[in-house]
Amino acid sequence: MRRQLPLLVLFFSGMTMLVDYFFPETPLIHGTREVFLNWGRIALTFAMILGVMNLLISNLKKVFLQQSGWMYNMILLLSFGITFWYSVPFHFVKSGEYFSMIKGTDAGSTGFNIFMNVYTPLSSTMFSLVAFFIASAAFRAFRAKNIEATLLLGSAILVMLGSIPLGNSLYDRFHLATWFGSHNLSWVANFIQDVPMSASQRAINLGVAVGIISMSMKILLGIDRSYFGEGES
Amino acid sequence: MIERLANLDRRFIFLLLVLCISYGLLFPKPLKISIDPPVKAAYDTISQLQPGDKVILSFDYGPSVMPELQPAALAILRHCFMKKADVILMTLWNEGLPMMSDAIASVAIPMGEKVNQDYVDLGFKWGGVTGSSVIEGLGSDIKSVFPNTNGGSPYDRVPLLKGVKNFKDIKLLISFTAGNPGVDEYIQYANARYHLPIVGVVTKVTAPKEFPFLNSGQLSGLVAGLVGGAEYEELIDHPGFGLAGLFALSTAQVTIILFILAANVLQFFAGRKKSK
Repeated sequence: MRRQLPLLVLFFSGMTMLVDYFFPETPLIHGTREVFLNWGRIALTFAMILGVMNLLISNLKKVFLQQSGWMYNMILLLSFGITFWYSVPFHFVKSGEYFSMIKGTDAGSTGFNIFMNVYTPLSSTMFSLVAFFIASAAFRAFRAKNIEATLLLGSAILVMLGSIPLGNSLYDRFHLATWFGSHNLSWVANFIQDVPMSASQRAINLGVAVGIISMSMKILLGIDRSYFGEGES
Repeated sequence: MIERLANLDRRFIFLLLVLCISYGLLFPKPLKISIDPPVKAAYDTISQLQPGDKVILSFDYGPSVMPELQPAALAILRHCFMKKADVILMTLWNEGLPMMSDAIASVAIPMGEKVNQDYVDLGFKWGGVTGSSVIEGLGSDIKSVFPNTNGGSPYDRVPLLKGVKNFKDIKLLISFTAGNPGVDEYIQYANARYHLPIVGVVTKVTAPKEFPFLNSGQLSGLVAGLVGGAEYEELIDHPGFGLAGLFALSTAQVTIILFILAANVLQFFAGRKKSK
């Protein structure tokens, strides 16, 4: 029963969503779907709380046991506590005939300022570092070693230059327009993205979609039970 | 000598890149912008909005890509207000809430737009990595997903939301996306099933993934990265950070291209030396 019941719930809810997609006007199926969607949103909210609890417990454990790098866990817990303290409290104020909720995450609040002035620059910095690694990796690895690599290199440079106004300015300056029948470099970059790249991307998307359909059917029919922590039956 | 140059210390590359970006930021130069067709398509779609048309703006990104997406988000929000459209703001990302608050503080409030009348902030709802339970829910009953606004007003008491039940009452959805859930999920659930027109605003890295949807008409327009944001600012004639940061972006990109070319020239000469 411990296995059959979840399988039954999965099959019933999955089939309801599937049937509703093709017969949206059937009230019973549509109503059941609405209930499942609501349950889904509620379950996901509790999953978030579970995630936070898990984060707290695992980090507290490391701090109490003074495992290696426990200072970092301590910093995480302190940051969490401070942000939580300033972001969660809320109160109501009357504006006109309505009450408005003023939250710790609203613009101008301390929680908002912590987010915008601490988390945002840190997060942007981490993401910006990618540009430096791209520059270094491009210098070391992007070499025209054979015909395929040369084609890739050529199209990459055209797309990179065509994506920025400076590329178009350089293009005009050196009178390169005649190469591409008076089209500018943006047009060339767009053509590469629109035609060859879009075609290959579409092929990949179709392949992925077929894979998803097959995987979904295996899960719905109970053939794949890996989400139970077991392999295919 | 050639081999030493070919194996250049990466710290030197980092330093050169820092210098080029700093130069671009400190001494910006105006650049002639050509508007890409996908950005023009997005602009044209929003331009066709009539006063009172309901538009959903979904801020599905976090601070890591804020410098890249926020200029486009602000310009598009401004354009929607210029068209007197009724703007419904929401997010599928918890990190999207402050992005939304910043957009309201930077555009809606200075333009004198009134909350719950000209725009409404529905806040954040977690729908999992696919966002399906939220997007599908919006398709059938928006109130069931957002019973209250982010400010706590009940759905039924918000003037802007009077008569708005589901996607059928929405004219356009614009998703500012940095990952999942985002524009891909809106295409799958909102466009495929409810035929809701969608404009995508994505990072430059993820833009190639969206081109097939643009060609098939599932996306009505595509604004990609800081360059797309700058082009949009140019279209609405309201310069912002997009246009200001464009020269720095250009210098950085040209530097990377020069590194690639230099590496290949060095490899060519190193190969010739070896064959001799």
